[in-house]
Order: sequence, then structure tokens, then C-alpha cells
Amino acid sequence: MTILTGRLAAVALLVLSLAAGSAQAARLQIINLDGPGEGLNDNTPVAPMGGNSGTTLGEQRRIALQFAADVLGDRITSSVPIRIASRFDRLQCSRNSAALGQAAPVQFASGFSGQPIANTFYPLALANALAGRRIAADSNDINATFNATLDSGFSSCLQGRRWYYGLDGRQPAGRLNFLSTAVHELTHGLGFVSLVALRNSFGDAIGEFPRTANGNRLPDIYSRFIKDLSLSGQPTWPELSAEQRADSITNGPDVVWRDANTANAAAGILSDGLNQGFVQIFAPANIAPSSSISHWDVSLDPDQLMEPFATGRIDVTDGIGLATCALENIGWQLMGNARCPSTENGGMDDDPPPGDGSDDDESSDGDSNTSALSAAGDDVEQRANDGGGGCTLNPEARFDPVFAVLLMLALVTLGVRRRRRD
Amino acid sequence: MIIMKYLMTRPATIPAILAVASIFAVWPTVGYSGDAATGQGAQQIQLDPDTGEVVQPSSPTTPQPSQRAQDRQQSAEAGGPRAWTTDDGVQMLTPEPAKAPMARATQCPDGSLRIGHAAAREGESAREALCAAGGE
Repeated sequence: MTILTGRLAAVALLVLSLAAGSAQAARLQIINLDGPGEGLNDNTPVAPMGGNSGTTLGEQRRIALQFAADVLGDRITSSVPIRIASRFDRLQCSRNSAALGQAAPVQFASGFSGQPIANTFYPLALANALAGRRIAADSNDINATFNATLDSGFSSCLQGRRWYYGLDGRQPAGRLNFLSTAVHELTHGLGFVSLVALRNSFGDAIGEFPRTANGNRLPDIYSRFIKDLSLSGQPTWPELSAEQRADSITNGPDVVWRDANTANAAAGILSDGLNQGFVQIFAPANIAPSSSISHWDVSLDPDQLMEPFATGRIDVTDGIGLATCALENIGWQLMGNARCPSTENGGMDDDPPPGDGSDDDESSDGDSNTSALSAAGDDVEQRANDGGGGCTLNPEARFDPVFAVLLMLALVTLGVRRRRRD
Repeated sequence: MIIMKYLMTRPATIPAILAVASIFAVWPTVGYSGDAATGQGAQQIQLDPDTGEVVQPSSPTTPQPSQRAQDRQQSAEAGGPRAWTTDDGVQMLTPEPAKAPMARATQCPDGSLRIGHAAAREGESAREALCAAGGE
């Protein structure tokens, strides 16, 4: 009995070890492309706000961006760190309009080992996760740029509105929630984006998928989940000709996300935005080159993070909603504690304390132009990516040789003991 | 062999050994908290936690050396997409920048602030497009 118990314990430990070692939270790594004293390294002193302990503008930006990355990283698994080439630049800003930022996959790949669906472009971060190795060794996975001018406080820039770098989703009136903006953009970077041509350019006509080096045109994995309910047989997009797809781009509300699990999940939380049970994709009658197809439809109620227009009610500390479902559909393996839809609190163990909502956290002179070069190095925020405690077997994850050795050792020991007993 | 003999004579210790070994083995992958970034005079150096190598910020359009040899660039137009094949046959694509739409914020005439990805159609400003599209 004692021996049997010992064996069971050993096997249980091995299984547990294998499970724990084969799935890990994706680590989204901020690659700081800004120079000294600017952007993510801006040394302008600021007061901590809303759970963001940074005391310089650059530090607060880095903390908020890493927090946004971790909101996503705690929900998906990858044994390959995801590199986000990040910068704050002086982008366009006028009195009534400003660029906020953008993020997208740096590259797409098709034909790698471990690819679930052949002849399909996968965003690089996802391709790396599925292959269990870095496919493009020298490449970052996501490009992300945000507007530094919005921290100037100048009335000539969006009437003095500034970013809110708090982590609590409680931005004061007149501030722009950086966290939700960053999570939205980074979700595009993880693959919530279609590569279908929305305008005629560079030899691609509207409705066409991109061309490979061999001249073939391949759909992207996101577009494989789009179907048009208005057409006979309700085909998915890859089943359409480019001309049919060009027409379909504007066929909202009949352009939908085809996955049944996502539809079931959506039925439980949405009171609007479904068509025949499927979640609607944003496909307005006039193509909007920046937003058509690569977002949920604006009719979704309650609002979702990946709708094209923010309504101010999205708080990513409460989860990322149906975006989790879409990420899972296109191939991301969810962490054990992540759910579709994601409505739980961020998946973070060290949730920030509630902010005070005050507006006294701005720099004193209201001008946080990139300051003079500083010789002092900022402390770099190092945030544990603890994975949230989830343990799931990931068939795509790399196998750790340490576990193989342990497993072999245990099996040999059991075999030897059995032979001796016989 | 010494380890094997030890385990054969003390089978009850196997679970404990495995437990300890598992803890040490799992620690770097599950409990890893090492954002190896460090600040040096406001310039950050990023270390790859897998290899320990310094991560160099790389241009998204810079091909790897191994890729250059078989780089069958399909589109040479500036700002356009770029497709090539790696040595091991993977089809790679760098999409055109327009695939990364810029999110914008706009103060609309009705006083509302609208945030989103609305792009201007011909003859329409980005502000008009966003305010017309809806929002807060």
C-alpha cells in the first residue's frame, strides 16, 4: 500500500510538472525604441496616479504599457516571448483632433511547423506560439506607437486633454484612458485584424488577400472566421472570389464571426449585435479603411473592447470580453484561468488600488515636452508575469528536457524495482 | 549509477526528489518574473529571458541574414507590402503600414469626445468621419 501510494504520488507529481511546464502565460515584452529623455524614457516628473507608481512620465508610460501587455499576456499562452517594438512619438494633434496610436503585427507567416490551418497567414506572435520557436529570429512581433504630444497639456492639442496612465480604469473627465487604448491596439497586434484589401493599392484590389512571394494569395487566420449570411450557403470569406468579398465588405449586418462557441458565449452577454446568433463584424455600407472588418460591429451591447469606436465605458480591468474568444478561435491557447468571454478582473494577481480620481497628477507647468537628456537612469518597471496560476496542457508548447529526464528516471526506477520484486 | 542505486534502496524518497526537482525545474517557466530590462542612463537594454542575449530593437522591414539569400521580394514599392520566403520555406509577409490603422480622438461639434479607428473617406476630414461614425 505504501509503495503504491508512493508510485501514485510520483506519477501525480510528474503529470503536474509536465502540465505546469508545458503551458505558460505569454510574456509580452516591451522593446523600448525611444531615445534617452524622450517617449518611454521621458524624465519629466509626475505624480503617481490610479495605481501607477511611476514618478516620471516615461516610467508611467512604461508601467501602463506593460500593464496593458500583461492584461493580454495573462490570458494567452506562449513559450516564446512576444516582442512589442514600442515608442511614443510626436504624432498629429490639433485643437479638435489627435492621433492616439496604433499597433499591428510586424509580419505574418504561413507554412511553419505546427501551423493548424495550411495556406493561411498567421500574425508573427501567434505563429511563434504555435511553432514553439521564433520564426523570424531578428524580428519584433508587434509594432506599437502612441502619441506623446497628448501629454503636453497644450490647449492647441485636443483642448488640453491628456493621457490618463492610471491602471484602475477610472480616468477623470477630460482624460484619455491610455490603458484601454493600448489593450485595444495590442489586441490588433495579436491578430485581431484582417489582411483583406480595403482599398486598391500596391497591386491589390479591394477584396483581395495579400500575395505571397510565390504569387499565390492567402487569407489570414482572422479572415477565415468571417462569413456572409446574405449570400447563398452563407460562405466563409476564403470561399468567396475577391470580387464577391469586395461586395461582402460592406454587407453589414450580415458579415459575422462564424465561430459557434463565440456565438454561444456572446448570446450570454450581448443584448444586441447578433445576427442569426453570430457576432456581427463592423462592415458599414461605406468602407472605412481603418476600421471595417477588423472590429466587432458598433451595435454590440454592452460595448466591447474591439469595437471601432470607444464609448468611454470600456474598462479592461474587468476583462477584454469577446476579444478572448476571437483570440482563442484564431489559435491562441488560453491560460487555464482565462475564459471566453473574458469578464473577470484582468487576470492580474496584483490588482492596482483604486485611484482617487483626482486630476492633480499632471506635471506642474502643464508642459511635458521631451525634457533634456538625463544622465540618471530610470528604474525600469519589472512586472512579474506570473501566469495567474493556470495550468493547462498545451500541445503546441515546447517540451522541457528537464521533465523528460525526470520522467525517464522515474520509469527506469519503477522498472528496476519491478524486476527485483519478480 | 549511484543515483539509481540510491533510488532503488530508498524508493520512498522518489516523490520527494521529484517534488524538489520539479520545483526547481518549473520555477523558471511558471514563476519567472525576470523582465530583464535594465536602465542605463535612460537607455534600456533588453535581455531575452530565453537566451540571455541582448535584444536589439530591430526594424520590422529588415530581413534576417539567412532570409536575404532567398529573399524573393514580391513588391518593391515603397510603403507597400513585402513578401518573401525563408530558407525553411516559410512564406513571410510584411503588410503595408495602412494595415495598422491609427486610432484617433476627436472633439465633436456637439461637445462629445469620440475615440476610434474611423478613417476619412474622400472629401471628408478624419474628424468629420469619427464624429459621423458615432461614439460617446
